[in-house]
Amino acid sequence: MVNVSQYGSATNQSAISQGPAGGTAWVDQGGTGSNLSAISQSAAGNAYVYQNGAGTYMSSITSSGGGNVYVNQGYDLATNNNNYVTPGTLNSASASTNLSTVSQSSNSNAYVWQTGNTGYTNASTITQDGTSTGSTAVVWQQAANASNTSIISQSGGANSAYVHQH
Amino acid sequence: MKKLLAISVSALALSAGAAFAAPPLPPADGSNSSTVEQVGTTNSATIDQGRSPGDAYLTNESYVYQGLNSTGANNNIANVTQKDNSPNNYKNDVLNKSTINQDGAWNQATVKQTGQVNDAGNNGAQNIVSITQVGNAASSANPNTVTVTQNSDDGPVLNDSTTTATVTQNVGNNNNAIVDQAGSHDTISTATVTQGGGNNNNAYVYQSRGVYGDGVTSNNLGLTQNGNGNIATVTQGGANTAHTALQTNSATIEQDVNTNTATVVQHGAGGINTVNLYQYNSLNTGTITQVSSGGSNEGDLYQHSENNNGKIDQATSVGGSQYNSASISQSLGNYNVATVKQR
Repeated sequence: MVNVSQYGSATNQSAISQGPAGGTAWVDQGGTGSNLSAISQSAAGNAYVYQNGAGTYMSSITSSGGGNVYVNQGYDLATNNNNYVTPGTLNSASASTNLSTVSQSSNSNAYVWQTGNTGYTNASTITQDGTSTGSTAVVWQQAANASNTSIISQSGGANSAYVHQH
Repeated sequence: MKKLLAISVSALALSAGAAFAAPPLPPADGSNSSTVEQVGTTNSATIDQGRSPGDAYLTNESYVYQGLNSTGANNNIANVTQKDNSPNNYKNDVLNKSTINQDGAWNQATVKQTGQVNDAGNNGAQNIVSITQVGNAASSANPNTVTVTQNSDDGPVLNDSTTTATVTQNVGNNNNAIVDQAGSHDTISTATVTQGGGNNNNAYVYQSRGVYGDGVTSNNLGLTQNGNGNIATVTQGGANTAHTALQTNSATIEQDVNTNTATVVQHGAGGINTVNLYQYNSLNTGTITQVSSGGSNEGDLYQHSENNNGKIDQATSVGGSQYNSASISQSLGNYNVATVKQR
């Protein structure tokens, strides 16, 4: 298991790579500058990314071992009962640009929650390919006076995609 | 580390372009865009797009591709809901645009688009749907289904809207296409339905009348069915003629080969109801009913070959310059029946 917590006000960067032993990866970032997270997992294990604050947030996750991916950008955990894995209510105070990229190549699920505010952008790309069957991709984006963009690509059959944009 | 560096460079570029720039003014806000691509069988895609509190403008766009270029893709489901869920006081139009492409057979595509609901502003909606179901040439069944519901607005306030639906079912039998277009106010609705390559297809089109309209409500339809045993059921306008708004309806329907059935009902006001119904070959049945309040009716029915049955029933108000015009042409073969009733 790897756990990274970064709350500096400038640029925060996190890179996690987990090999055959697998394990869970946690990243918690809250700086007001640029916050970058990259996770690569080749064995079973979930990945959790929580990014919340006024800044630019980018998350990139590559998973080939079968673990689920949870990306939470912009939602205040305090108003969401510290729940990492479900969307909360719109955080209208979140002045942030949120970008998320998830790539999975085995049977697994991806959940991306993004919320923003005036003039900012939520963007999510999820690719579930190769032998992936029975996988689920969920994107939940909320932004007042902002733009939401979601791209989901799935192959292998028996997959589900759900997109909520408001 | 190399990957992280690449991300960092991109993020810096992003920061300069978006996060540190002044927040864009309308109409850059309230934009939802979704793309879903699914390859294989038994996939499902669900898209729900709407307005967040505070969105001054709203654009909902969605693209769903299921199966891509593989005609072996079957049993896929696409559900798209696009709406302006703001209750009131937003003074900007909403654009809902949905595109769905499904390959193979046994697929379902459902789109529901809704404009402003009881909005106090002078708003309208632009609803656009395009659905293509390719079918499977190797399958005799191919029961693909399309259901489109477009409601441009809902309430007694002035909302002028346009609604467009294009449905194409290219290959196969037993396809179903249902298009329901409605608007409370002055709405221009256009539907194009093509069932191009099989038998026993069913097309149902309902285009309503703007109950609160004070200008022009126009319904337009182009419907083509190729094959045997196809059924087309079309209703344009509504029976409510209490207001004086202009209501025009236009339908052009073509059915090729045998044993096809087309039933068209139009209710208009002040304008012209127009039907052009073409049925080729034998054993076809065509029925046109046109009712206009203060307007005119024009019905033309062309049936070729044998054992066809054509009927036109027209009614309009007494006096004024309105007229009924009916033409049934059964140009080839025997055992054809033509009936015209005008009031």
